[in-house]
Amino acid sequence: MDLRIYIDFKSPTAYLAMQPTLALLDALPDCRALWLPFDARQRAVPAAKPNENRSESHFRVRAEVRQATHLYYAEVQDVPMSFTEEPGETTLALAAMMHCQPLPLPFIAAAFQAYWRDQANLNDPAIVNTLLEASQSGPEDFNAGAMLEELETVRAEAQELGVIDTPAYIVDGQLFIGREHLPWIGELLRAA
Amino acid sequence: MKSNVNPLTSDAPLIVYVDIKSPYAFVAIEPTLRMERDLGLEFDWRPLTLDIPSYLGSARKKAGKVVKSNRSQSQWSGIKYAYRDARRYAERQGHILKGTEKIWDSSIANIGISWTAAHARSRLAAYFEAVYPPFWRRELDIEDVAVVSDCLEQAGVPTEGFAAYNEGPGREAHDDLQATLHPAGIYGVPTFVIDGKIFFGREHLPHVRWLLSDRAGPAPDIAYEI
Repeated sequence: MDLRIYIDFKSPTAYLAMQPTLALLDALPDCRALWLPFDARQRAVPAAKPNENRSESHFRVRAEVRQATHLYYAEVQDVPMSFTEEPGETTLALAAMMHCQPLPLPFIAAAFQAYWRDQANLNDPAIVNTLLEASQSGPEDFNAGAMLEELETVRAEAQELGVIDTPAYIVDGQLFIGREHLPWIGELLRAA
Repeated sequence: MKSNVNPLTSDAPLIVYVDIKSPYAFVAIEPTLRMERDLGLEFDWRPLTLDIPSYLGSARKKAGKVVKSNRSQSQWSGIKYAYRDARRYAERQGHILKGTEKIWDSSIANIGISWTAAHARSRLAAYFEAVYPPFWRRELDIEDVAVVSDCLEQAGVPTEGFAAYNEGPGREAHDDLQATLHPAGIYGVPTFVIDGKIFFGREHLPHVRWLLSDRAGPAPDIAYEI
C-alpha cells in the first residue's frame, strides 16, 4: 500500500515525526512511501503584551506551551532542536526535495538537520545546493524557478486533499495530521 | 473544589483538565479513566470551560447549515478536520460524535465534575458516562441545570444542593479557576499536569503513563492509543 507523507523542514512536528515514521516504515518493507513537500505556515511565539485580551493570551500561551513540548520530546528522541525568534524559510529546499526521488531520505535528513541544528536558511540556493551535493541525491540541473512552480502545484493538490499542516499522512484514502496517528496508520498498512 | 486552587499543583499524582463540550476531551475520557484504573491511582479531575470564540471565532448552524459566522477559511478547515478526526476515534470507541449547531456553555456540566469530585468521587467515571456520550449524540441540553442534575442522579451522585452550588460556591470556584489557567500555561483540553509539567492532548497519555509508572523502560513518544 502507498503512504503519502507531507512534510516541511521548518515544522517542528514534521521534524519530530521523522524517527517514529522511519521506524514504522522499517517494520513495513512492502509499504511504498512517497515523501512530498507542503509549505506549512509557522508563526513565531508572540511576545506577552500588557493588557492582553483573551484571544491574544490564548494564542501566546498555546504557542509557548507547544514550543516547550516540542523541545521536551526532542530531548526524549535525543535530537537537536533550537528555535529561532522567527521561523526560517524552507521553500527552496522543499522544491528541491521533489527532485530527489526515488530516494529523498538523505536530502530530507540533511535539510532537517541543517534547519533545526544549524538554523540554516533553506531558501538560500547556495545552502540548498550544498545539501543536495552532500546527500548525493539532487537533480543535475538545479532550476529554482521551475521547481518553485512545481511546489505550488503540489501544495494546491495537498490542500484539495485537506492537508493543513505537517506531518500529514494519506493512507487508504484517509488523512491524518500528526505523528500521534502512527498506530492507526500502521494498522491500516498492515491490513493491506 | 476550593477557591484559589493552584492550577499546577495537587495532592493527586496527576491533574486532568476536561470540558464536556470538547470533542477531543470526549475521546480522551475512556483512555484516561483506563489509565487511572490500571495504575490504581486517583487523579484530580478539574473543569476547564473553553472560551471557544476567543480563539476559533464563532458560528451558529441551523439544520446543518452555517447561518452566522466570523470564522476565517483556515479556521473552518482546522475545525472541520478536528471534528472528523475526533469522530473517527470516537467511533472506534463505539460512540457517536455529532457535529454541533452552536458553541455550548458547558459550565454547569463542568461544575458537575467538581461537585461529583467533592461529594461522590467514586462516581466520577459514572458521571462522565452519563453526560459525555449523550451530549455528543445531541441528546442533552447541558445548559439546563435540571438536565445536569438528572445526569448526576443517573450516575449515583447526590444532587441535593447542586443547583445552589452551581449558582454559588461552585460557580465562584469554577470562575476563579478559569482565571488562573492562562497565566499557568493551560489553554485547552484535555490537559494533563504532572509534577508541574503541562501536557496538552491525549497523545501524551503513553508518556504520562510512563511518568506515573516510575519511568520504567524507554520513554514513549506521543501516540494516540487505539
